[in-house]
Parts: sequence; structure tokens; C-alpha cells
Amino acid sequence: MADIGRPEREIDVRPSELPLPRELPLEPAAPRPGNPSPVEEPVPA
Amino acid sequence: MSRRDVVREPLRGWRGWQVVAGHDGPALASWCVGAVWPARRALQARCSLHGSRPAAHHLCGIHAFGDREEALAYLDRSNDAAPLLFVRRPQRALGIAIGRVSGWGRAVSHTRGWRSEFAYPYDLHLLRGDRALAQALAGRYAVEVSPFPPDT
Repeated sequence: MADIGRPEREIDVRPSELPLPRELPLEPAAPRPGNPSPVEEPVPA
Repeated sequence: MSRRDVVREPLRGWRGWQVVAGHDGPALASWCVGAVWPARRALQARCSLHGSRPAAHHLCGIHAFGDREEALAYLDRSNDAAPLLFVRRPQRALGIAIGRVSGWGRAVSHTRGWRSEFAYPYDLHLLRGDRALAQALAGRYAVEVSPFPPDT
């Protein structure tokens, strides 16, 4: 077992953001109602 | 040690890992006890007496050194220790990594490090292993992995 010295104090570590990697979304988010679709409409020739 | 201070930033320390063959590729395992560190979610400590929260008077919790040199010296010392010390032998590991680790939840600070309830690697350096192993670990854990030892 690692010898990290003698215990000093108990602490409660509550970070506002957990130090975990952020997952990238697998799919683009669906457009919300009222927002234009990010997909361009085909332009008539 | 009855009063518990609240800290808003994660703890950061140094530790070593064995790199072992997991079900989905190379995985980090604790140096002695053999716990395999999950990817992209926290490792939670487990103690048969105290659950996940490290007790001040016990050795439970996820350990980290405050100093890189201490972590390196520990790997050096224990690598030559009695075989029974290890659940997995470092000699058979795919690689050996050292790096910074974040800790949070209930924790106990020590004179030369800390023990925490939750932890996740912050960045990694391979002491043994190649670029392909570094790349595989980086992809799995989503942290920076250098195929070289840290600068001394």
C-alpha cells in the first residue's frame, strides 16, 4: 500500500464540475421547434 | 479530526497504474490491489468495513501522492517487492503508467498525499509501452497520454 504519510484532516471535496471527460454527442441535436433546421434545403435548379 | 472542511476544487495527486488487457482493449489497473479503472466514469473506493468513504484511521480509499517523485519512487520500490504484494504482476502488464489523478467525494488528506472516495485519471505518461498503447488509452479514457515518461 502506498505510504502517503500520516492522516491530517478529513475533507469533503465537492467540485462544481466533476473532473470526468465530457462525452461528445453521437448525433447532432434535433432542431427545437421554432428554430431553423441546420440542414440546408435543396435549391431548385 | 472531527470537523470536515469543504473543498470546491478536485484534489490532484500522482499515482501509478499497470496497463492490463481488458475486455475492450488496454485498461488501467491499480498498482497493487488490481482494481480496474472504468473508462469515462469515476472509480469509487470500496472497503468492507467503511464502504466507499475513506475512514481517517484506516487505509481505505483511493490513494494518491502529492508529489510526482514520491509516486515514481513508490513504483520503483514496490516493483521489486515480494510477488504476493500484487494481485497482478507488473512484469506481465502491457505497460506501466504514471500520471496525475483527480480525487473527490469524502477524502482524507495526509502529510504526503490523500485518499478519496472517487477518482479519475487526469493525464498519463507511459513508463513502459509504446505509441499505440498510449493512443489506445487516450481513446478509452479520453485523457492526454504521453508515450514518454514525464520530464524530470
